[in-house]
Amino acid sequence: MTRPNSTDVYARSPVSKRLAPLALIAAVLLLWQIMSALQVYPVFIIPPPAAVLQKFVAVSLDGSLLHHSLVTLKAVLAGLAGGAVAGAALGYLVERSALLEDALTPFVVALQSTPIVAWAPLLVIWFGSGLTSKAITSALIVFFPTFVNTVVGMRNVPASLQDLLRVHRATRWQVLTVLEIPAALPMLLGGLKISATLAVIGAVVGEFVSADAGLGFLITLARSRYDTPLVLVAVIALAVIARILYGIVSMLERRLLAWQHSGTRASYLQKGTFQE
Amino acid sequence: MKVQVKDLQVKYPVGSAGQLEALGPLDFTLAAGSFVALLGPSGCGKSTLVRVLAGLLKPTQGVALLDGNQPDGGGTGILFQDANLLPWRRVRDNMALPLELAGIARETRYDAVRRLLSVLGLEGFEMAWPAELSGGMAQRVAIGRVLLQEPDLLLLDEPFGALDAITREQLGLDLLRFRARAAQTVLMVTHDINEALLLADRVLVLSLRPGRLVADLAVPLPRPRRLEHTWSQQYVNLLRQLRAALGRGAAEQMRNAVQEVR
Repeated sequence: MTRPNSTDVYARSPVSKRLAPLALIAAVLLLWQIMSALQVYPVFIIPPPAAVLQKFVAVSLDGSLLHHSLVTLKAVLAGLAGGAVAGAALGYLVERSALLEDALTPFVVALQSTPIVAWAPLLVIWFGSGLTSKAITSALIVFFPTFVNTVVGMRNVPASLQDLLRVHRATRWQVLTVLEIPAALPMLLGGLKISATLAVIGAVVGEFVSADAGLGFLITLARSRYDTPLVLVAVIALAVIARILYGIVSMLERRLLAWQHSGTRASYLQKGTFQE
Repeated sequence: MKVQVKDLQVKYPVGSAGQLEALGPLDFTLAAGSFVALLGPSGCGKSTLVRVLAGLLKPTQGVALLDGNQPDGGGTGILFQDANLLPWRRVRDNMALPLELAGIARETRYDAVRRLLSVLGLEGFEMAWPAELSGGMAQRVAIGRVLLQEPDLLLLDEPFGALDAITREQLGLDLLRFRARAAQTVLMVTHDINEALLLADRVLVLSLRPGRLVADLAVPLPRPRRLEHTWSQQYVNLLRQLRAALGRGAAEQMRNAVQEVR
């Protein structure tokens, strides 16, 4: 047996990390195939994997999958951007002003405690069944995690570093860019990670209420026709969109928070950048 | 920079009506270009005085004047016990912070940093993250930062307190060496008698809370200071005087406390 490197005693092998999820997918597919072959449930409840694949190919070729995906994606991105910017901005203002905090907090909590599904019909009445109502539904659900994480992130700015900038007579803008934003960034990106997946939920909820396009609309349509393979294709497409968004934020996190993963002085010496 | 402290007193509110007398009344003057140590036991209000001089805290009574002006942070550099580096900035961007805040161009900033790195023993660590540094190295980066700032008044708040004895002595002597401009006034707050004697021209001794002046001692050791000076008879005599002064401060404090109880 070879001795593992002292730094990665607790690290799992990359092979198992890659293979484990694939093996699980294969097992689920196999079980699914067996169940549909044995006709445990009628075909319209559990269609065989092959039927879903066929449907996927069909809607991919006629461009309808791409069309509906793009409609949803547009709403998701607009909602994510709008909700995150509003959440971060309002979170910052609330943290800066006790008056704003007192005034806004009850409303923010009320907004968050109301199920987003309850808001959606109202938003459709106000903004129509187009992109706007979906984007706003999505933004509403995105708002809260970004807002809360911004407030917490701002509170985490160490007092000693605030003193440091005060002694240097930094301007308000310099304090914001040099200290507050970088200090709050880990929490902010953590909020954005949650928001990215929530944004998809918001857009689909909007589409369920009223729409003429989008993956949520596609699911409603397919279900009314008992086209279960199409429902599954749309669901998988949503999962893929959410996973990609989550991946993008994770990548952003690794990039922007490189300083958190820098390890120890020893690791820096190992990189060979240091000459005695 | 000349420092004048007149009838300075700081009280903190405690609870709803109570007051904690942290410091003073205190009167002293520091000549421009002098290196003065403020020696006192923990909790004598040393750090409070530093915060007042840095413009971070308003005194309850009396004034502190820097060249005749109220302190507002300008022209003042502080070295804290903690290096206080911004963890998301590499060594060179931490060191160049004062220049960056003053609006100096990036290339000029990095040139200035590069010139300092070898003096500070930080060659090759320009691009390191603070998390990758040892405590002594991080404090060297903080020293570099304050050197680039070129303040007229340098406040040292137990700057080497978190380090081991050997690193502490070395960094202290290095700091004397780096001290670029003769006009720079240095006030070092410490509870370490040896550190005070080794580095300062003059030692002010504070009593326990509320910190009051109990001794004012000149240190006529030759400059540049070297570790060997600490073995001389002269040094031992100074050490004895400072010990006695600290003891007097404690005794006086005790008498006051007993009187208050009566």
